[in-house]
Amino acid sequence: MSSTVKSKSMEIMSYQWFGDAEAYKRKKKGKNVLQLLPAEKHPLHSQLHTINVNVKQKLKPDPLDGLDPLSLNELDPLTRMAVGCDYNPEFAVKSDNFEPWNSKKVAILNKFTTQEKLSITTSYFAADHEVRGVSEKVLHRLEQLDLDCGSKQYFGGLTQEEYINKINQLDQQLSQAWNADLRVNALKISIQCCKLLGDSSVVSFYPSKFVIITDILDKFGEMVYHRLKGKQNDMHSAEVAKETCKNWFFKVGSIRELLPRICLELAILKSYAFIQPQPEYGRILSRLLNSMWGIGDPVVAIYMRCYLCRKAMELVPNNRELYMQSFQDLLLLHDQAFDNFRHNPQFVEAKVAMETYMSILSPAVDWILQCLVHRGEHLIYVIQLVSNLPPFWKSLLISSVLSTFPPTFIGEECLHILEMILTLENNLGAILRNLGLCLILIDPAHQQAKEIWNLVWPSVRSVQDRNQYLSCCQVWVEFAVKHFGSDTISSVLEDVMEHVRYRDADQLHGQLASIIEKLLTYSNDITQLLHMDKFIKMVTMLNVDTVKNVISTFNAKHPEPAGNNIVVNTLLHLATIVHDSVDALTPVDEVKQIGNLINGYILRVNFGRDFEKQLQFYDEARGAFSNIDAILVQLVQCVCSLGMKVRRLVDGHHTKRTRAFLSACVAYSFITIPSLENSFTQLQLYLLSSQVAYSNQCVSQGESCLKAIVTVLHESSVADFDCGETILLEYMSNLLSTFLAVPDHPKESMLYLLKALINIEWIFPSVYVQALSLVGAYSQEKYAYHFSGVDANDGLYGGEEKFVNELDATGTSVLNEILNIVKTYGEQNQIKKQAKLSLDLFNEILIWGDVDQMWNLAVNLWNFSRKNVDHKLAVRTLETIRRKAFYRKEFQYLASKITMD
Amino acid sequence: MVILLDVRLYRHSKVYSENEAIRGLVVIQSKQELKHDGIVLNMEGQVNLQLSSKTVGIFEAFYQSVKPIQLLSYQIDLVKAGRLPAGNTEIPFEFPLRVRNNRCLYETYHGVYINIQYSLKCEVKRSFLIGTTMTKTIEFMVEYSSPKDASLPKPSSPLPSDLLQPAEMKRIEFEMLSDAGSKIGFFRAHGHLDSATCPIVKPFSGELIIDKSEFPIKSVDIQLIRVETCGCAEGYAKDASEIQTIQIGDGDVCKGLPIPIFMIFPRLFCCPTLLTTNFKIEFERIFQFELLGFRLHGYCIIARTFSLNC
Repeated sequence: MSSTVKSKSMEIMSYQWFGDAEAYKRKKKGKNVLQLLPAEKHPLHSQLHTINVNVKQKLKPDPLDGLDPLSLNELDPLTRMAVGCDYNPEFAVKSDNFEPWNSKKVAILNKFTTQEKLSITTSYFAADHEVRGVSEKVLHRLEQLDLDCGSKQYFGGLTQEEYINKINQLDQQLSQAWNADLRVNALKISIQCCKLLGDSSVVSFYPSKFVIITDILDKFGEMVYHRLKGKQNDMHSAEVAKETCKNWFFKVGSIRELLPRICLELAILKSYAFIQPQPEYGRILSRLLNSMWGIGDPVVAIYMRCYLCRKAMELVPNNRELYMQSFQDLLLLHDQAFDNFRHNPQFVEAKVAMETYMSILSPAVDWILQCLVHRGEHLIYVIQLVSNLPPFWKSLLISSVLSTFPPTFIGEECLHILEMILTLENNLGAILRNLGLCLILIDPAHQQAKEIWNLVWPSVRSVQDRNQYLSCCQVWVEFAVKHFGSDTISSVLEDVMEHVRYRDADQLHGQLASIIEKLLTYSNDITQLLHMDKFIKMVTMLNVDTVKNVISTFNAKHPEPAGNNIVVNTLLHLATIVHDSVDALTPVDEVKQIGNLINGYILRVNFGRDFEKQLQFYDEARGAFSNIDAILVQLVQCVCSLGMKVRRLVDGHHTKRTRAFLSACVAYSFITIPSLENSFTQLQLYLLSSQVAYSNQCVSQGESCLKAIVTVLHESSVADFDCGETILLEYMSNLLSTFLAVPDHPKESMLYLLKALINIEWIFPSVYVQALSLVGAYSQEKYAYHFSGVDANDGLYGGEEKFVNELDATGTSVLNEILNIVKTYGEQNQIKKQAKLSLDLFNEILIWGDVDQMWNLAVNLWNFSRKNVDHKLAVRTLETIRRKAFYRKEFQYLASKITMD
Repeated sequence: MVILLDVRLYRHSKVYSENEAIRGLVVIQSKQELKHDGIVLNMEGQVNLQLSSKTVGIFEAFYQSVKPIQLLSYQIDLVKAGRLPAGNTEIPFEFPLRVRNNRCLYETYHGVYINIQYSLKCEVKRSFLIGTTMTKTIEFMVEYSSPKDASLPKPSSPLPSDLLQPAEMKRIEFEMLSDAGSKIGFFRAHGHLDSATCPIVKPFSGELIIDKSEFPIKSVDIQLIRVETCGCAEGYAKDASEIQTIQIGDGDVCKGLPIPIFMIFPRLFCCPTLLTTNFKIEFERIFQFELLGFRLHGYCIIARTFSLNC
């Protein structure tokens, strides 16, 4: 077997290529010309459309046939948002505009933090102790001995994190004690937790502390409830649960300290249902509410009322009297709170500002008010009560009123409320901010908006504290953008800039960025913003993310091309900032993202028919964005399309000027491309530019591009191209097809580009097969296509014999190259590949070769391949040949020679 | 040989009132056949009195223990002498809770010097040769039934609270005052108790308003104090002890606003006020204010006492 293969391959070496000059003509004869139909719809587009429709149909709210709630959870978050449901059952029940505690919780935890040192006193921290020094070890042992006697430990100087850790530790111990059936211990631990609530010494942390501890209490309450429920359900009778429950209430009722007693009674109040089937929660709650008068510290007192309202919302959400009573208590607490603020040594020492004090109270007050008014009742009554309060309390309550009342109501009463606000001095920042938050939701009429603005803006400007001022601006800027033109906005920005200096930019970054974001989001015409100095100044003060944001908003909101000089230059400036932020350490993805962003901007710049200016812009852009390859690629492509645009404009007949312009375009590409890192991209762009050049009769520029391609291919190995075989082969066929329409250079030898190309050692034999096709195409009398205005080789040589010989010689060398590879495959025992290549070559001969002269080779190749290629393919090939044999006599002989066996 | 003896009452709370029937099971768990000389169930109720060492001296206190007063004593033979089969044996029983002679039934009470206790005692008698006699005692509570609890049958005798005159139910106003020159500075508070006569099942309630205080207040507490009096040969021995303290005001509370007074009676340690020939149990309530003076740097306590009729 191997000897026959060898003998065959020896023969192979002597084969020659004979082109078939008639291939095209015959093809044309035998071919049906397909009719061209313009594509009206993009196939992908239409599909997308139908999907949307499906989704919409699915999501239509139908009261009877809603989505299956179980499967809803598996939908992606976006779809869920579209459905507009929240699966929190608590939320579902309360519907309307009641903001659940859980959503508030996070906000409170984030807002109220402290740098101060905290302290904790408790007897329950023995579980895991980090024992450090010897002295502490001794201390630790002593403590362990003491613990049974209920000794108290004092932990001072804790940071916030440490403090929270301690509380979490208590929480864990509570669970452990509970699970270990040590109920009394569990109760004791929860009493300890409650005691922590009584300490408001680090007041700025108090709201967070409240949130954490009430969570623990809630958990405790749940544990008690579930245990009693379990008692009720399993074989014990209801009486057992009742007795146990009574016991709990007796135990809690006899706690000595006031605060833990109230807290725990609230925590386990839900379980009262085990004592009485229809418990009078209202009565109990109102008693507890009254006993809260015993709490001396007003901060604690207000927060306890908040906790009570929270529990009441779970148990008796409709008991209006209770909420009204809590609210009225709140009003009465004024004296106590005011005294506390003025005389408490702790506030005096720490110089806690009145605004801070109010902001600490406001979450609790908000919640109490929300419980009262969330059904839209008592609104006017509350407003009247509030308007008669002393200024200190009025400031606090108005801010809560604004944040809890329905915005529509605020909108109606707006001027009345404003009048009240303007008499106040304290807490203006928070009040105005909340007012703004309401007003941006309801969109007042233009006239009213103007009136409001004229009243509000001066007092916003007068807010002293810079943070408060900025958080006000954050909101009111949105109002201004929605209702007024660029004049107002620019005056707002100017005022903001007056408050902020460059060196503060880092510190106030978040707020300024949010102002910018509001402007970007709500502005109808982003170009107006770009015209404002102050806006640009502010953006440049902030970090790159904001700048990116500006560009991306521009891209998103400004789909039409931009030709305004100021806008273009401003954006160029901003884009340069973004570009310059990229350095060696920037992650690849971010570079990619920045590239996309700037590309979006570049694509939008359009000076209409001022092509020179456009090119100049691209030139500038290249200078500015030289570090990001993606942008350079985009620029080259832009320039190429610019060239083609010009060509379309002159309809292919260039004047001297336009031709020069095109030379400039191609030159631009030619200069830009070498700086790219990826060599395959270089190749693609070179090819693109050469095609542009040839289409515009810039022959020499085009040729230099092609030369550059060959050089690049010579210099780099295949491993340099990260694109993979298929894409590279596609590229090669594109390149070779371009070669067909390109004339030879008069000073070089015939077909020098092609020859140079096949001199490269290709590891993909398909390239040679393609080259063979090109040789075949070259040998036709008239080529299939031309660049308009450029004579190809058919015109230059006109089928001259010398040219034909040259072609056959080139063909022969390519052929031998292929046969060599076939041989190597045989030696390497890669039968499949060998057969495939042989069949390819066989087909090539059938299409382009002179079968009369090459039948011998063809038959050999056939015999060689048919056994090892797919049987069906072989059969089909055979059928084709037989069919051809009907009308071409040279095939008849071949057909008689080749068989399936 | 492991034998478990247990007495179980059907009522989980173990609280009974007069004339009710106490029902339950005696459970005996044994792996082998059990020979016994009879199983007997005793119900007893007695008042234990003890003299305080404070009033009569240690020596006397030790010696002159007062004889317990028997309130109840019943005995039933559950099973005659014989054998019990191996495994679980449950013997149901029922007792009427009825007074003996013309004594009355007091509520269960655990105090320092006076205890009123009711118990069920089950005894499995066994002769010395087979093994020791086994006993098991459980306590049950006696309370006067409240009219609210409709599930319980109404007792024939009227409740103490029903007997009270309307005049005694009225609220009691009070005032506390201290002059400017005194140690605690100027201080004035007033308030009322809803009643000095409180039914024991209901919480004790009232209101307190602090009008003015020269120094900040640290805490407001109410204290429940019992006064027990035992009769003995040498006259009466009277002792007061604290039952529980409850804080109603924490920190410098609001002036001029009513702070509710609210206390649940700890059931085991309280009983209706009892005045008998041999012993008395009475209650007092004390308000206590802890004042923190800036100048004094110490606590001063102002207190006010009321006697209560439960």
